[in-house]
Formats: sequence, C-alpha cells, structure tokens
Amino acid sequence: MAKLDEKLIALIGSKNTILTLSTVDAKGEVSSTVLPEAGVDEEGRLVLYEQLETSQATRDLTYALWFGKKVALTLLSEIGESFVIKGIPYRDIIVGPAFEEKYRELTAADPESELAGIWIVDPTDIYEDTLTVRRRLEREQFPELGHLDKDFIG
Amino acid sequence: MAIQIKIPDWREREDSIEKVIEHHPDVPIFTILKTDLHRRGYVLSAAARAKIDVNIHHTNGIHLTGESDSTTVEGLVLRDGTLVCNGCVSDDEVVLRDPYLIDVDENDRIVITDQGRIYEEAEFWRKPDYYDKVTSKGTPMWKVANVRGKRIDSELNKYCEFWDTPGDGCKYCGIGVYGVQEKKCGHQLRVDPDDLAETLQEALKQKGRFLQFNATQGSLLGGAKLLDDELELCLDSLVRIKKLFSRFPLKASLVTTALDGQQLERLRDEGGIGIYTANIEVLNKELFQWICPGKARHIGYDGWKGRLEEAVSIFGKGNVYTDIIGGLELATPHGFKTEDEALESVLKEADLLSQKGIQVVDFVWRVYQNTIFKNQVSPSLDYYVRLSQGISALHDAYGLNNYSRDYARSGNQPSGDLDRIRRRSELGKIG
Repeated sequence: MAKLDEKLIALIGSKNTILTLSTVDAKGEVSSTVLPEAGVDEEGRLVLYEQLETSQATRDLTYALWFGKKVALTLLSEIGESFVIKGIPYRDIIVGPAFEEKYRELTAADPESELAGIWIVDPTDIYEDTLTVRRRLEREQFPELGHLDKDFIG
Repeated sequence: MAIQIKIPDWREREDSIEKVIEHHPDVPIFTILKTDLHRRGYVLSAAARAKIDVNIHHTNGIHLTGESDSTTVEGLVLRDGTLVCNGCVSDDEVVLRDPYLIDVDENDRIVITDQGRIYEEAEFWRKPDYYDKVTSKGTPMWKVANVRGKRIDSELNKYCEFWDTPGDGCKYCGIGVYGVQEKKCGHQLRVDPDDLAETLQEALKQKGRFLQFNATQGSLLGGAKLLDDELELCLDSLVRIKKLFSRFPLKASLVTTALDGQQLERLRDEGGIGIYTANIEVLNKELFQWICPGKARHIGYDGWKGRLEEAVSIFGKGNVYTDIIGGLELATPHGFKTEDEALESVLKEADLLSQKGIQVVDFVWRVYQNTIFKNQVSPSLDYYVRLSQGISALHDAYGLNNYSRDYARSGNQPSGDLDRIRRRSELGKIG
C-alpha cells in the first residue's frame, strides 16, 4: 500500500481541493466524476463517499473491488498543484455505525442527501501531476525531447 | 450433539470452490463464496462465538422457519457489502456437505475458512436500534419485524393454507412445515398490524439504516374469491403503514401468492405498493405440478405466469419479481437428469418471463431435514454460479434494473449480487 504523506492527507480533506474520481467499467468504458469530499482513514486508506446507488462510480468501484482493478483520484489544490492517487477498493461500507454517522452528517446539511456506500480504497500509486513539475521532470529525464526552438540561440 | 454430514465424500464428487473460481474468472469470489455459504452452510468456532456481543450484533431472529438464539448470528457481511443471509448450521443439524467454519485469525479478524484455508474476512450483522424494544401492546419488536441487510422484514402470517390439504404443501418448503407446527401448538400466527406500524415507526428513528420494507406471509386461500383473505391481510397492514410515509409508491416490497389483476390493483391503489413479488419457485410446468401441488391445483403454472404478466401491466416493467429455488429442477425422480439440461431449460423459461418485464431471481436451495424433500441433494456450486450468471445476464439483456431483490435490500439472491455492476442509468445524459 502506498503511503499518503501529511500534505496529501491535508489536501484530500481540504474543502478547497477539487477531487475527481476516474473509473473503468467491466467493458473498459471510462468514466469520471467530481467528488464533493473524500478523506483518509487511520490506516492511511482513501475514504470516498458515493451518494447515488445508480451512479457509474458505484458500479465501477464495485467492479474494481471485485476484480482488483484500479481507480484514480485526481486532486487539484487551490494553488494549482495536482496529484493523482491510484488505488484498489478494499471495502464498501453499506451498514453500521460509520455509515449511519456519515448519513446523518450529510442529511443534516441537506435533507435530500443520500449515501449509497463508503468506499475504502488502498492507495497503490501516488504521482505529482502538477504541469510545471512534470515539465521539469521530463526535461531532466528526456533532454532530447521538446521543440527545437527552445534551445535555439541564433 | 454433533452436526451430521449426509454425503461425507462430497468433496470427491464435486469441483472445489477453487476450481469453480478458476472456471469463472468473470464472477467475483464474494458471490461464489456467498453462494457456497448458502449451499453448504457455516458454523462458528468457539473464538468466533466469543466475538458475539448480544448488545451489538444481530442475534435472536424470527423467521418463517423458526426463531434463532443468541449463540449464533443472523448473518454475515463481506468486504464488498455482500450479505450472507442463510447457512448458519445449528449444533445438531443434519446437512448434506461440511459447512464452512467462521473463525478468528491471528489479526483478530472474523474470517471464513474451510479446511484451514482463509477465504475472506467477514463481519457479523449489527442489531437494529428498535430490536430490544416492546410495542405498547407488550409485543417484543424483534418478534414483529426482522432485518436483513438494509431491509426491514415482517412475516405477516406464519401459516400457509396449502398445507390444509394433505399433499398440497410445497415439497422443499420448511416454512410450511414450521407453520403447521406453530398452528398445532396454538402459537400466535399473525403479526398485529398496530404492532407492525409501531415497530416501523420506532425502527425508522435509526437514520440511514433501512432502504426498504418487505412483507411476506403464508398463503391464505379463502375469501370471496381465491386469495382475498391474503389480500385483506396485506392491506390491513399496508394501510396503517402508508400513514407513516409522505411519498408513494412506498419503498416497499410485497411477496404474496400470485394475486389476480383486480387484487393487484387494490394493492397498488390502497396499499401504496409499487414493487410486487410472487414466487413461482420452479421454472418448469411438470415439475411445478409435482413440487408445488397446491399452487398448481389452485392457480396452475400457466395461471401463475399469467398473473405475473398481469402484474407487469399494473406495476410496470421490471417492478415485478419471481423467485426460483435454484436446483429444484434437478430433484429426483422427475427432475432433469443433468445439470446442463436443467440449466438450459431454466434459463430458456426465465428468458421468456424476462422478455415480458418480469425479473426472475434465484435462491440457493438448502435441503432442510424437516421437508418432504429431505432426501434430495442440491446441485454443485458450479451449477449455481452458472445459474446466477445466466439470470443476471437476462436482467441486463432486457434492461431490467434490479433494485429490490438486490444485494443490499434482500441479499438472498446471487443474481442480485451480480446485478450490481449491470444496473443501468444514464441520468443527466444530454448528448
């Protein structure tokens, strides 16, 4: 299991972070959805809250848990830093105290809210995806790439 | 007392679960394991029993087949939310095959094991908040309604009147046999509608616990016309329950003997029901007549199917369900001789019903020793896996979204588990 550091844990929990979940279904069809929130549990696993039973994310997370497939959570911070955390769903909590506590929290904020499942995901890979960082790394590792005019001095 | 195994050499006769998993890479291990737990049953080790906390865990359930005690749990939930609803074997039970052992591993997790191998971790079901409370009439609420997954269940009437006529009871049915015993003992056979409404009112204080209310009961044949008594029994409770809710149809499922069109319209209009189930049990006319003689004599196989079709015209495509007990079609001496023949026939018949908007769903047949079919042998695990795959594929092919006899609300049907990744919706599609 890949370890999420303090910075990432804080970013995942920040209301100012945009979170996007990418999944694949049994036929290889890709889907993506913005998550209102996510968290990290005491064991360092991602915690995703899926509100709708009918959502593609619910189906795809189930598929991923069943067959050991990965899903990806992309984080975009308020200052433009971006990270991708890939992982394999480990558990879908549909009953019990944690589920009911979250359900009560959601419905207290919006009585029409629903909760279909709390997904616990084991992080497997973590990448920094911020464009400036990736550009710097590409130039370091692949100095032969990039447009010729960048190096042209006349 | 010890558990007695009727087929001691069954492991030599059948493919192991490992083989079945290997043969079906497109079926999750959770569904295969749950199917086998229902088929073979499970027992709790002393360490697992020591984990039961009667204040937290769901014990002491009331069922159409009897009441359970606090030495075992009502069910298990697996990591993916799969429910294991059946299979807990009592200490002196006679079973066909060795049950799984629910044990505790070195990390203190509850685990499902067989012959020393750990297959999965599991959790015990939790007791709902209402469970230890008592109605204003003094009835313990756990005797009024039970819980399965995210569904609250009430069994409105324990006695099935098909058993009034010798030879008319369904041959696999332990529920009917238990009802006869209860009636002989003069025990309370029906749930009081006021108790039920009060129990539901209390249960729903637990926010986020329930998705659906389900009612079922033994057949009541009498009335001005066949099954009117059963209809009135249901309406008596539903009318009271309706008052508790603001939105209709109710998030409820009702299981009855196959009612006719007029009766079903009353269920919809007066009872507020939007999802309806009438269990045909076996998908073959000749076998239905042999195995379910009472149902065959009063309604008939074609009549039952006709009533299901009529139900679709009233409740809509996909909102009518019929359960089958997988494996009955192989019962001897009149059943199919091979699993391949049986499967082909069942799926062909299920296809015809699915085309008409009826959702066929499958139970795993557990051969109870108090039934007429006590000497029968349920089929292989591989058969059940192929059956549930075939049925789920029909739901997919005909666009039947199973949100009632599914993994969370019912938990008893392996095809309902497989439906989880096949249910469709394109909500919000704008292009």
